[in-house]
Amino acid sequence: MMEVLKPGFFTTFQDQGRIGWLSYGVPLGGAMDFRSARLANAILGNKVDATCVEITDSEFWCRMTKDHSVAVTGALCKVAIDGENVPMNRPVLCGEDSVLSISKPHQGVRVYLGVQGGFDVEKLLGSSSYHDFVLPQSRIKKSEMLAIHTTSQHVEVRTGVKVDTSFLSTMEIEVVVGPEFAKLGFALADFQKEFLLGDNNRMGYFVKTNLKHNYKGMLSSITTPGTVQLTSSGKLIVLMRDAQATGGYPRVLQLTENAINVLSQKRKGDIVRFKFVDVTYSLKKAK
Amino acid sequence: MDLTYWQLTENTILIQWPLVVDRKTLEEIIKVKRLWSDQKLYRLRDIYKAYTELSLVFEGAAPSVDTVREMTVDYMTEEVRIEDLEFSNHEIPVRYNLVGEDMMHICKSKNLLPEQVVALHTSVLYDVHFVGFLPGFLYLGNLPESLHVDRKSTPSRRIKKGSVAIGGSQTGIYPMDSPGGWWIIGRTNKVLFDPEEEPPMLIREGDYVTFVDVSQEERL
Repeated sequence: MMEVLKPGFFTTFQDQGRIGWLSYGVPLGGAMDFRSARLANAILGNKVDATCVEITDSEFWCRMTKDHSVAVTGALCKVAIDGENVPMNRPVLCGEDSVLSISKPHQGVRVYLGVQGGFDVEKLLGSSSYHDFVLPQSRIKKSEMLAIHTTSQHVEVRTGVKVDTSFLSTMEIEVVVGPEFAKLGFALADFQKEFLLGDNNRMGYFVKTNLKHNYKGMLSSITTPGTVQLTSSGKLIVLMRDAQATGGYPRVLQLTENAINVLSQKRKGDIVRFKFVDVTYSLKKAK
Repeated sequence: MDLTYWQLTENTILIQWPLVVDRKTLEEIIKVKRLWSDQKLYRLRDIYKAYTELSLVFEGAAPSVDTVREMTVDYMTEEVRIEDLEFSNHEIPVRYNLVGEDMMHICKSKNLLPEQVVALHTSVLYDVHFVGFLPGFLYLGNLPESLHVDRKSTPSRRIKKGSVAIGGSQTGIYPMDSPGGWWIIGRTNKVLFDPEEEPPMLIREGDYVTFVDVSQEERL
């Protein structure tokens, strides 16, 4: 187990999210920067849906009650065991009684802590991801004991994983046009410029723009993580992992899966620029 | 029937019906949804609808839009057995608040008495179009036009679980505490969504809902 010494201001358990419940109005949820959470699990030889801790823009300290292999991924931060620096994006062994300290990130916002075996958290609707609407507890608290699945056999950790951290510094957010784009009368160029990010949380990022419109006749329609809605007063709502299943504003853009990960590492005040790609672009890139 | 198709994300394709909210479109989407759910050619991660859209979320990359179109056109002409499309009626007991601030607002703007609001609200069979916004939040069709009222200009920070409300041309029940911009006319103690139960809710799209006035009955 791990005993939480410093929980940070908003630290949650996250996995792949609640798959298959959108027709019940249950948000998907899951790690905001899913790629980084998946990386932590890959490094430790865990299954892709093993539960990680998602730390939001703050310090996180914990004490081990026995030996555990962990990996820290995502936003760039300082990681130490009993004050001794250890690398990110590598499996590191924390001995019994040692203290793992993760600093507030200096680039990016969300840090992932994975442990070999994965955290042992009760699942509801197929997932242990924290969400206010589904679970009574919404964040990890100080002094909490975090249970860990025991790994029955020796698992090969991967030390040679090459990690590209350029996604933390890029300001480009890859998008495709959304279903209502053509009805709003804007040009692609209206979005290919710099935008200042406003408030944000796990449900969405808000961006004020001068892109006002008077499109009417929108019915509540399908939304998904990455859907960008535009209110008539010009506010962009970029839906993130905890997005609701349907929304009533025109869907002007749609982020690629990769762009959701990139945006989830941005904070209020950061500047982003939308880059239009083909809808099948990220798939081609992955092949 | 002219349907359109839209590739929303790498793994999601939307099937779009004309923007008409009615029972016919609702049942047609449910039929296509069932046939897509039952097919074995492509694995679906999820499938969910809104008023006039069906979203197919594929496991991995989506097939081409043309493939989805061809399959859907076939499904549209397929006859589905009547018993497969049987829908239930759910009664929602409501204690209407005849003297509440929100009720007063509706009465004033629609020139109705609270009793008339209740009579109108309990007079129709509502269609459950889909669930969205919050887990268990029903999107209901058929609210009598004389009860349509603009939403609050500033949403309330916290609407209590079980509140029955009207907003725009819609009526609904808040399945949990949440912010919201609708006017509260009463309260129900019927549990709409419970993540600990399997399934977490019994009311499904296509079902009917009626509101039953229990204001006069003893407090439960």
